[in-house]
Amino acid sequence: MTTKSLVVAKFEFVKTVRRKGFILGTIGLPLLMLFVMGLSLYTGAGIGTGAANQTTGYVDAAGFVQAAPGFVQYPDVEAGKAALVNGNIHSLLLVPPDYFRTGTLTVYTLDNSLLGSAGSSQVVQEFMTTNLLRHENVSDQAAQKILSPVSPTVIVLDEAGNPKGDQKVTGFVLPFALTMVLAIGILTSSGYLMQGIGEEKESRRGEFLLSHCSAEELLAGKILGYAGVGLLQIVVWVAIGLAVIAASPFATLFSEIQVTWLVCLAVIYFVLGYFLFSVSIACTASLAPTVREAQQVSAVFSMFAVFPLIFLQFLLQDPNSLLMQVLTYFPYTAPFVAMVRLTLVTVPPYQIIVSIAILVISIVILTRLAARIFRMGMLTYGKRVSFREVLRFLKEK
Amino acid sequence: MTTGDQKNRNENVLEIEHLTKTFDSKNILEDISFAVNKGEVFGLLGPNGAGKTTLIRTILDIFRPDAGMISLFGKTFSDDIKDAIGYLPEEGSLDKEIPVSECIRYFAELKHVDAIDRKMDAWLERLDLAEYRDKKIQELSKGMHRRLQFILAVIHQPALLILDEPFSGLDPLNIKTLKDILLDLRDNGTTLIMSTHQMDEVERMCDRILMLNNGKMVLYGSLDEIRRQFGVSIEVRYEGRLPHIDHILSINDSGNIAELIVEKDADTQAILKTLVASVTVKKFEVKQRSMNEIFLEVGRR
Repeated sequence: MTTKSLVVAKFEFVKTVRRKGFILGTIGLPLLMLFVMGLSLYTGAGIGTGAANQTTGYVDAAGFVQAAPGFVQYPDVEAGKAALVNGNIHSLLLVPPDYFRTGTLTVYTLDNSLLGSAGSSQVVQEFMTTNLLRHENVSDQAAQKILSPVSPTVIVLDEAGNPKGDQKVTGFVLPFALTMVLAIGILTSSGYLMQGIGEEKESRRGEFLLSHCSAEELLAGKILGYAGVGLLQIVVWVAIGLAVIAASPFATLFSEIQVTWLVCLAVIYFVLGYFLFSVSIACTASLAPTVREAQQVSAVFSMFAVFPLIFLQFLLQDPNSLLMQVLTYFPYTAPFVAMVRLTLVTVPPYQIIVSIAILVISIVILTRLAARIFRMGMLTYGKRVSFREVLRFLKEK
Repeated sequence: MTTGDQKNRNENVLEIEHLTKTFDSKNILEDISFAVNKGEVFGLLGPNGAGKTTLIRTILDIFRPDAGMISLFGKTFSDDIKDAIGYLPEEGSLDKEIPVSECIRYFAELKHVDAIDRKMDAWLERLDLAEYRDKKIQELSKGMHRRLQFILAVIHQPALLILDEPFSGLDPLNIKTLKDILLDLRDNGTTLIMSTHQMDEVERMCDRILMLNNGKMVLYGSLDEIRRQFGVSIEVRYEGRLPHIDHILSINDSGNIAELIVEKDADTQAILKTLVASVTVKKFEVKQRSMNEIFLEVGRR
C-alpha cells in the first residue's frame, strides 16, 4: 500500500460520507425503520385507545358462550351496537343460532384498519376455542394445553453427542446477523465503488488520474476508501441496533455475548468477501460505458449475496448437501453460504479451510488481472468493451 | 544565453528509440525515435488518429511499449519520474461536487507537493480563480474549468509538462495569459511538449516538432529545418497567361494572383525570368511555407 493509495482512499472516503445520499442511508434509513417498527408496535398494542375499547361485546344466540375477562355479553344486537357506537366496546360478536352447523359468526366493529381487525381476530379465535372446548366438557387445564401445546427446550448436540456449550440465542443470532450485515455491507460499499468508478469513466477523468498514480495505486485506494465507507455505515447501523436492543426487553439475551470462533470466521469472510466483490465490481465498472450500464452488470454480483435466501429451503433442509458444499467453495457465494451453514450445523473444518483458501487465491489472481482491465477499461470511452478486447487488456504489459 | 545554458538546453529530458505499440495486431505507433531537449517547447503534431494520444500515454507509462526504449531524465520510468511530469489532457472533467481547493489539494497530495496552500493560492491568483477557491467545481465556466485543470498539471512544478490542446475552450485573453505562463515555465527550466492542431501557436511557440501520421514519424526537427525541406511558395500578381514553369510542385491560380509551390532548392530567380518573359509581373514575393500548409500537405499523403 503506497502513500498515493492512501491519498486516494482518504479522498474517496471523505467525498462519499459527505454526500446527502450516504447520510440519509446511514442514519436516516435505520431511524425510519425504527419509526415504522415503533409505530406498528404502538398500534399493535392498542396504545392510545381507551381501556374500554379493548373490551369485546358478544350476543350469544347459540346459547353456549360464557363470559370471560375482556368480554361482555349483550342481550341483543341492538344493545350491542349501541355500546359499540358509544365506545364501551371495541367490537361486537354475534354468535348465530346455527353456529354449530355453519361455524360462522358476525363481527361488528368501528375500526376498519388491518391491524385492528387482525388483533381482534386472534382474540376472538381463542375466546371461541375455549368456549367450544368447555362445551365439549374438556377441562380448563386440557384446554390450555390445546391452545398452547408446545413450549420447547432445544438442546443442540455436537458430533460426540454432548450438548454444545453455546446454546444461547446469541450463539445463533449473532453470526447470522453478521452474515446479513456482511451481505448488506459488501453490496453497499461495492455499490458506492461502482458509482465512483463509473462517474470517473463517464467524465473521462481516468487518464488524468493515471498521470498522477498507477492503476494499481488508484484501484487499491478506491477499494480501501469505499471499504471504509461500508464499515462506517455498518458501525453506525450496528450501534443504532445495539442501542435499541439495550433499551428493549431483549437486552438480557445479549448480555453475555462472547467472541466465538464463529464471529472470527464472520470477520474473515467479511474482509475476503469485500475484496473479492470490490475488485470484481471495479473491473465491471471500468468496462461499462455509463454508470447505468455498470449498475446493470453489477446486479449479477448482488445475486450471489442473496443466494442463501434463494436456496433457503435447501439450506434449512440439508445444510451439508452437495449443492451447499459447492456453493461454499464457489468464491462469490462462499462468504454468505458458509456463514449461514456454520450457524445451522457443524461444517467439516476442511470445507471451511478449502473455502477460505479458494477465496484468497481468487482474490490474488483477480487483483493481478484487475489492474490491467481497470487501466485499459478506464481509457476506453463511449463504447461497450467486447470480450475480445478484455482478453487484449489482459495481455497488456 | 551562456555556454552553461546552452549545454543544459541540449540535455535530453525525453529520449525515445524505436518505440512500437500495437493494439489488435495493428501498429498504432511504429518505430518512433526522437528526443526532447531540456527547456525547449516541443510540438507534437498530426491529424486525428495519428497516434499522438497513444504516444503521450506511453510516455506517461499508462501504456507500456511493445518494443523500443523510453528514457526520461536519463532513466527508465519510476514513481519519482511520474511526479516530475505534469499532464494536461484535452478532455475530461473534474469531480463537480467538490470545492476547487479540495480538488487541488487532492491532486497536489498525489504528487507529494509541500506547502500546498501557499502554492494553491498563488496559482489561483495568477489564473484569476481566487474567488472560486471554496466554491464547488460545478460553479465554474468551461474556461475556468480548463484553467483549474492547468493548475492541477503544474502545481507540483514539473520538470516536464505535457499539454494536449492546451488552448481549447479558452478565450483570446486567457490564451494570452496561458501562453505567458507557459513561456515563464520554459524560462524557469520546464520542458514543454505540446500537442495541438493550432499551427499558428506551433509557429509562435515551438522550437522543434515531431509530426506523426498513421503511427509513423513523418516530420521531425526544428521549424526552420522542416520549412527548408518543404521549399518555398511564391505569390505572383500578374496580367496575361501563365506559362509552363519548371520546378513547380503545384499552382493555385485565381486569374490575377497565383500561389506557386516550388520544389526544394529551386532557383526562384530563374522562375521570375520565365514569368517576366510571358506575363506582366506586378508582384513577386518569395515566402517560407507555413506550418499549416506543411501540415495539410503531409496529412494528405
